Amino acid sequence: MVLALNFCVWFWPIVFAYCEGVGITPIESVKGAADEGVREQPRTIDGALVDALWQECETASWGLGRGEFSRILHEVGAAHNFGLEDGAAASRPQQAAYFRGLRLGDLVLARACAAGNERAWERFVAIYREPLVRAAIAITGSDTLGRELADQLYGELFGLTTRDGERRCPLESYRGRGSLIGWLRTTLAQRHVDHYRRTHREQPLEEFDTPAAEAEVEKPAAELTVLETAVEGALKSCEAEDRLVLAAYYLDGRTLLQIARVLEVHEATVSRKLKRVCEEIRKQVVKNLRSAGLNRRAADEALGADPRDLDVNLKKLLQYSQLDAFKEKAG
Amino acid sequence: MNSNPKLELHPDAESLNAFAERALGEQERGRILAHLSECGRCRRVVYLAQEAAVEMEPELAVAAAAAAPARESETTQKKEARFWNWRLAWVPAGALAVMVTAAYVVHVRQVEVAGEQAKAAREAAAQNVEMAAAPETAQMEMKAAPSPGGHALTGQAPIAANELRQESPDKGLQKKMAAAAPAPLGVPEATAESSSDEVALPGTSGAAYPAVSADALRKPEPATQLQQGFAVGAPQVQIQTAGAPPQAGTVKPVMHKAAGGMLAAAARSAQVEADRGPAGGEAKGQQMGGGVFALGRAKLAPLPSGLPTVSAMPARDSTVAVDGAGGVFVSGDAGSHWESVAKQWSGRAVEVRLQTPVAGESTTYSAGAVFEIVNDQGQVWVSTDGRYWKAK
Repeated sequence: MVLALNFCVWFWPIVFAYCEGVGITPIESVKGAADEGVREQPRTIDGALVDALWQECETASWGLGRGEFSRILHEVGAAHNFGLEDGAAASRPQQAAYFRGLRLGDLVLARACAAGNERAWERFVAIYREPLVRAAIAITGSDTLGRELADQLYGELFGLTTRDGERRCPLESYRGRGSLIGWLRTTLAQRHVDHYRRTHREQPLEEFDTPAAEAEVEKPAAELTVLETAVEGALKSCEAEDRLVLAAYYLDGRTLLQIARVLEVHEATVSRKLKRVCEEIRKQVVKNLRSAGLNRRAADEALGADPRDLDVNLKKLLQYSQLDAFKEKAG
Repeated sequence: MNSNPKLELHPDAESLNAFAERALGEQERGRILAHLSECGRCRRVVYLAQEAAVEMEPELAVAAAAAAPARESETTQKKEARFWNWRLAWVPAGALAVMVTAAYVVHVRQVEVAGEQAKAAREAAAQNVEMAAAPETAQMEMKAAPSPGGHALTGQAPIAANELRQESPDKGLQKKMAAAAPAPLGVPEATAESSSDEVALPGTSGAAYPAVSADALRKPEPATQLQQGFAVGAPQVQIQTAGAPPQAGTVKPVMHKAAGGMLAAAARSAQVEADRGPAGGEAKGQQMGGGVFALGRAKLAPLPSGLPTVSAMPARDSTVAVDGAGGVFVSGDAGSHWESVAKQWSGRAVEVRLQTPVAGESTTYSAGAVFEIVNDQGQVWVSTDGRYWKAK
């Protein structure tokens, strides 16, 4: 009897303490408690989390109220579904983890600038004006072009462009993933590349040699046709990262160091990967040739064919467009 | 998502930047990667932005520090704390490594020194054996009073030498040196009361230390090492039987003067040879006092006078030595460093020894070691610490 009494005296407080620790309150049903954090699909962001983030980012000093900050968080969270797969519902801890992973300080500053806050602009100019110019110069490789590019972007950021009578600021598209200076650099690079592509297309015709009359297209040998098909199949079977390494090294002429910086791996890792991918492609080509009916010896001989005899457009193969990879349309 | 004039779809600047800064989830990163593998324009954008970032790294650090939110500073603090923790961890690790290395070096050195010492002792023992086997072999008689069950210890030098061959070189040398002590300065004295074969060593109490059989004296057991000095002044060995009168059966080994003189010369030659060692000489001796009776090794540094050591005697925590000019020195660290002792005696000191216990008393040294200095006229001064002497 005494033992049972002691059991009750010690057992239930422990149970209640555990329930309190995991967030189960006595008025919640057991089912509801079990589903906490798993099936909960909040449509709103926890107010306490918004308050905490609002204070951490010193949002008030940029003239953004709590309501505006909450709206920004909703927009940012919904834009990428809190970093989850499409259709998945983010629990409160997942929301908190997503927001903690963002550059909220940069985000608040960018949004305050987009809203036209003077103090925010002063801060922005003090921090990013000079780096912006230097980045533009580094990207263009020319002081004049760099300053021109930076001024152009700076004007856009300041909201000099309007669309449908409404002032548009590119900073509104910044959602805190990655640093603001990185976003500025990438935006500059985008503008520069697009500008280059436009102007490249506008080059005068006299710079181009008149193409020679096409010779009679000889029908390639049957082995070469099989080889072309095998190479195409092998390249298409590569994984995305492998194709990126191949394209960057062989098409873009990037160095191993440049590729390594993009992939954030060591230079030697890129070198090994490149070697491995080439080996795999070779094996895959041989495999495709053999599956096309060639024996081992014939497949090896086919690999020794002069590449100039092949009508394989590697650039086209490695850079075929997958427009369905992104949902958004240009606009 | 941005577009070019041909309405191609590309990731927007934020996605590309987040990809470059590893700020994307796995799924979105895979999508960007797939696009980059096929889109030369976006690859170029990423490369240009990356190159600009590399050129602007110092400025970036400043800008990032200025615009970093509190969370970022916390992260930085954590990283710094981690760095400092690791840095602090290197200190004890380095100290440990140094200690291990030092211990290894000391060990190797000790092994080398022990090897050299053993070699020297073997050579000295071999010399002594040859001398003991000479025609003028000394004979030592031990006279014992008849008693039931008692035994008489009769020893001859050749026999002792044969025994010494079977012992370790160091122990053999010590025994030889002890046996070589001239009779007037410290004749080894054995007192046997022979109802049992137990041996009580001087300076030890029977209760504190186990008694050993008299036969064990002939064996190289560490517990039965004879107390001895370096050159002269061998102490006593008492063989007692509990319950018997102390003087009932006394065995006194008597050493012929010829043999004693020869062996003493051998011991001195061994001492001189030891003095020629690299560190001024190594010697073994027993440290005795406070009831402790242990064989200790003393590595004697050269005396400050630069003269050879004529006599030295280690005790519990002091070592006293006499040089060739009669100077007395005392060492508190087993002979590593010596201090000169002001002369408080007449004549020239020729020997230092531990105080000879009175026959029959087994606790002579229970209160601590008492050094004795003997001058060239045979007068004796005593001291408990080796520094302050008074006439006996």
